[in-house]
Amino acid sequence: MKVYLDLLNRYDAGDKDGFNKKLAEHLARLDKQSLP
Amino acid sequence: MNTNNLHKYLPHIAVGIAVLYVGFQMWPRADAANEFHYHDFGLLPVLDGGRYKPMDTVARNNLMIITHRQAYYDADTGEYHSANKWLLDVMTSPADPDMKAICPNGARTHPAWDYKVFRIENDELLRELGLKMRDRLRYSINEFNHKIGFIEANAYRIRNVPGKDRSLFDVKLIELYEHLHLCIEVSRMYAPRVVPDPEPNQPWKPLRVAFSEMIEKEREGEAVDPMRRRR
Repeated sequence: MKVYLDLLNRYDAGDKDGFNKKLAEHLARLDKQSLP
Repeated sequence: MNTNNLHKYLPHIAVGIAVLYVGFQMWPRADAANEFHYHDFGLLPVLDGGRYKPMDTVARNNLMIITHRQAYYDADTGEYHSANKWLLDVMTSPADPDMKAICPNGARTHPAWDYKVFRIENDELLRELGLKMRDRLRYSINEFNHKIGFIEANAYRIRNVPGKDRSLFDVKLIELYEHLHLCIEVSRMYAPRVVPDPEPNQPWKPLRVAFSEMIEKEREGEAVDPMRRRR
């Protein structure tokens, strides 16, 4: 959940680099997991 | 091809070019390096309608219901924008004071409420909302914000009217009410479900629910653990 809060907070603040970096990190983590 | 044949096929060629142009404008593109990565945001998994799917699918489906398109058209700039951008802008335009803690800037003054995405085609409904019929028939929440009470009151009234007795106005008003509800649910972060439940085999939670639970746990922790405040 904290990832989403962080992403929305960065989007809200107009922090493009921070948003994109966090998003890429999260997607890379998800890539290694499998969905239910 | 002689001149007669050219004249014969000219309308078909023109329609073909127009379709290709609109398709090109609406086609999702890779994100520019110096912009928000909306396309990547759409890859995030969510639970919606009992199924796990990418955020992009939910964004497109929602926008398709509301505006009959999988992208939204900005009449001011003449540009199409992705459904992911629309969804993200709605999520960061909190309609609920509690969620302003997450998005204090409302992604800079709630732009989503100015997006002309609500398709309203019924002239009687347009008149009641104080709107003029225009090309594309799309309107923003801010254009009929002062009539939300009217829409809600009539939606409650119409719900008690059997389907066969509803007028075209009733049907179109209920439709608009449901589209508004869909948008507000996203804005209040009750949809889609984005947070996995720590318990196995439990459905994912909406961000709003997970956020409220986190705040509640923090409050309880402070109440039962007085040492925590001294650290």
